[in-house]
Amino acid sequence: MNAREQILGRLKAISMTDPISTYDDGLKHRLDAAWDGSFPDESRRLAGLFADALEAVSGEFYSAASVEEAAEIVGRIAHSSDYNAIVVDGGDMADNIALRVTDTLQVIAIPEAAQRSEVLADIHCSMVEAHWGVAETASLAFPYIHAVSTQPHFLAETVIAILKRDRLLAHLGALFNHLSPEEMKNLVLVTGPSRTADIEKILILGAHGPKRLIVILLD
Amino acid sequence: MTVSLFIPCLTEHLYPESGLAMVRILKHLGYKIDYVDNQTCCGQPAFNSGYRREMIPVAERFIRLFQDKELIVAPSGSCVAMIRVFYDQLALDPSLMPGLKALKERLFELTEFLVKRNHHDKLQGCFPHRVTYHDSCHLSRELGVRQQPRQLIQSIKEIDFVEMTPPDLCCGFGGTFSYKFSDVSVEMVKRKCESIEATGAEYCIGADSSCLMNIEGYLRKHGMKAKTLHIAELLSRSLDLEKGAA
Amino acid sequence: MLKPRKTHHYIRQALKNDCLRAAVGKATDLAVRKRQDLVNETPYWEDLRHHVHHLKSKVLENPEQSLMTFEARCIANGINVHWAEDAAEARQIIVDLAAQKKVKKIVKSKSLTTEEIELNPALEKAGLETWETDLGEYIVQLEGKTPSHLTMPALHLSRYDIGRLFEKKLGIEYTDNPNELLQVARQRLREHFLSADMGISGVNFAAVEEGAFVVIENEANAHLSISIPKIHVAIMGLEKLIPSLSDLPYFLKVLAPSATGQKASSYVNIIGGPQQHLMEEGPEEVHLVILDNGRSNILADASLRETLFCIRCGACLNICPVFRQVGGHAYGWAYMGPIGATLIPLYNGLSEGRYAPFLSSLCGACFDNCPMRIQIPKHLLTLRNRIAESGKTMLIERVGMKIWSMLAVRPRLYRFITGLAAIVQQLIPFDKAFPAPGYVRHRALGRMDSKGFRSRFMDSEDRREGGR
Ligand code: SF4
Repeated sequence: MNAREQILGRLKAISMTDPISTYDDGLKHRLDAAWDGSFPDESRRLAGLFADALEAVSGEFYSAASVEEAAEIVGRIAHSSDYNAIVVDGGDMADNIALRVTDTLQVIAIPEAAQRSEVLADIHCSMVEAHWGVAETASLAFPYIHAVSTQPHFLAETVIAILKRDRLLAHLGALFNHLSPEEMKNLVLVTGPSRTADIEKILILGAHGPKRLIVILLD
Repeated sequence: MTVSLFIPCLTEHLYPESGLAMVRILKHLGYKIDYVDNQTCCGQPAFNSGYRREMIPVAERFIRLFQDKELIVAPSGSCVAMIRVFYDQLALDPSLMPGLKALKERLFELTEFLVKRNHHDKLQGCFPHRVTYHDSCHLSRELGVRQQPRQLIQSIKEIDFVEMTPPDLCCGFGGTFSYKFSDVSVEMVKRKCESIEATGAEYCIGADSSCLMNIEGYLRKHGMKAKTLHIAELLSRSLDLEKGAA
Repeated sequence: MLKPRKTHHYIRQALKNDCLRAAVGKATDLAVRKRQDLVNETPYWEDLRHHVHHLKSKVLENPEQSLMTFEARCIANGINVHWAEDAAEARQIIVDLAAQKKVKKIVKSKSLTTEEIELNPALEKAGLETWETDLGEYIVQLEGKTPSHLTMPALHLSRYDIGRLFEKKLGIEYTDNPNELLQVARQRLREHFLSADMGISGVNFAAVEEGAFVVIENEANAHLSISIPKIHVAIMGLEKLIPSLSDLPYFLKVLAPSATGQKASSYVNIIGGPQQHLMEEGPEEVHLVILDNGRSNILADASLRETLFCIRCGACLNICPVFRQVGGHAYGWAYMGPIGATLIPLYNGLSEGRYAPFLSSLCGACFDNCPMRIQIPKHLLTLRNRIAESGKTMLIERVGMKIWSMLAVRPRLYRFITGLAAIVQQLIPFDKAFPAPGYVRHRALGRMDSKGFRSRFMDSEDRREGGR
């Protein structure tokens, strides 16, 4: 018999309810209500929570009333860090913004798969578009089904993420309610820049991934 | 009303004074006292060391001895937790289950009992000293008794009560742990004693003789200033109940 | 490998190392405080704990069914599923796979399960260049040791230690600046990410409903390890199941605060098969090794199965006053601290693991802090009982307990003997080594009262006035 059958054979004999759990069916309901209830409905206030949570994880928050304004912000960020190129992997909004920064920045589309990681490893700034944002934790959801590549999120030193205001949800529970099974199955959730505290618990940003994560909330 | 005394081993053999203090307090409050003669041990040391087979007869004997008592009070959170919480983990004689259930409902740790019955108003003695309070693990975590001892302490006049940080950190006793891994246990009690010293308290109050023995042992050996005092003794002294006692 | 005889030696080593203890103390204090702040902000924390416990017990209620469904869904998603009875089989599967695919270089992201099965030595023996990519794991790999904490692998090393280690092993100029150290590691590992043929990761959660698994991290190393190389191998203990990805938010909500005192981890990677068809990127093959290694027997054990609900957050380690003193290496195995003390005898056998469950004062703080509501103290007691009953404790203790048991049901004899003991103790000079030598080295022992409570009470006024 192979390992699979051996293991499943042993497990077949087991079927039991948890003797310890003191679970009542109303609990999930109560829990969901309490989780929901701790968030305001209005998107203005959600944006404030998002900004606070993002800053708590050392991310940077901007809000822009228009594509033009967002483009200006992107330009400023690039300028202040002396970036002259930006990789764009995005949806419509990111592409629209990219169109408006071409006079100061070289906009690079996602390179062919074969050279992708090599090329991206040398580019310092990327712009991506989040599918959903979560106010509670300042998390951004990127389902692969809507992405071309995830490497811009990870290989660049600075990542600028565009989030549309109507894509902002209250909390993680709400996020998973909004994701389709196909979306959630292949997904990365990003919260703040990459970080480590493995040396004497000293927090350092930019472990193996980006050092800066900038979110532009777009109306 | 009659209170039956449950006197844990350490109280019996090492710290009888805290037992006697408890008796004085209960009498001061008008209770009749009943001492269940022939009591020995609840079995906790053996249970914690894994010897259930050896301790089950002892536990069963304990239930038989106490199951019919109207009210039982003990000056130890750990021993009360043994019965209220840990006896359930034992494969006891099923015919004793109703007795155990009844026993659990009528068995109280001293401070829990005093506050539950709103006696703290009648226990406002005077104790002009700085004290701190150590939360014993089983009393605070298993029985959830954290507020009661503090309430009793704070009802005392002129007492200067200072919390140590953190008050509910284990003192490192842990029964046989304290000699099986004595090096680790010592480091733990050291940390506890340092946090006691940091409060500048003259007395570290506790509600479990085992923790107090451990803490006292370290304080004494290292010439530290603070002394330990069982909360029953604190209450008894603050009310001056010692007079006339043997 | 676990060496029970060395337990006391490890502990003495740890207690002698003041730097280690200061570091462990500082790190755990910080984690405890940050966790507590987040818990305080979450009034429904207790409900969350109950709920995740329930989800875990639900999915493991019928483990055979859950695993079969999970396997089928994984296969439908294009994941290759392998099964391993024990550590040796799991190692072999991965080594064979590497050989078959002509793999030369492997990048690994943090995985405790690979520590459990001691994978790295096997990969090295097979001539595979293997790099740990989590900074802490990388440091520990260079040191040639094992992690000393579930979530903080290099907790036992100071920045000076790490500086010297990098100087020696990587040939760089000495620095103890943490950021410079990180930059060195980042640069070296970046090259490895880009040139590795295989990425190996652990699994935090495996969703039955969707046939997908979850890898959580902060450094982005896991994402890079599993998205750049052509082959991704993930290894999971069979208990990692959760019912569905829609239950994941509850686990995420408790995990990050408990693990690192964060609201959320930086990256949550959900992998439901090779992603090539979605975005021309990611591994061409995803392999998942499902490991038993004793787990099915633990699941069958009604009183201890709950120990498998552990999500390896480390909260029980951080709050544990014993762990704080001795650190992780004293436990001698991949899992340490309070949960380690239960898992060590469960995975290694009662005989090999005979000390671990006793390395606890049973204070109960671990249970209060465990997001999964695992009743660790209760399980330690159960294991202590099994160890005692299998005759794995010291003979003198066993005999002593028998005598005690015989006496404790005979009150008069009991009184006589304890009275005698009191007299004997009075004869021995204060603070001498009786009855517990280790105990009194740094603590005065209480004096037994020669009369005891009973006779004092019987003689006292108290009894005459108030008695029956
Ligand atoms: S036992 Fe609980 S607290 Fe400890 S690591 Fe596991 S889940 Fe975390």
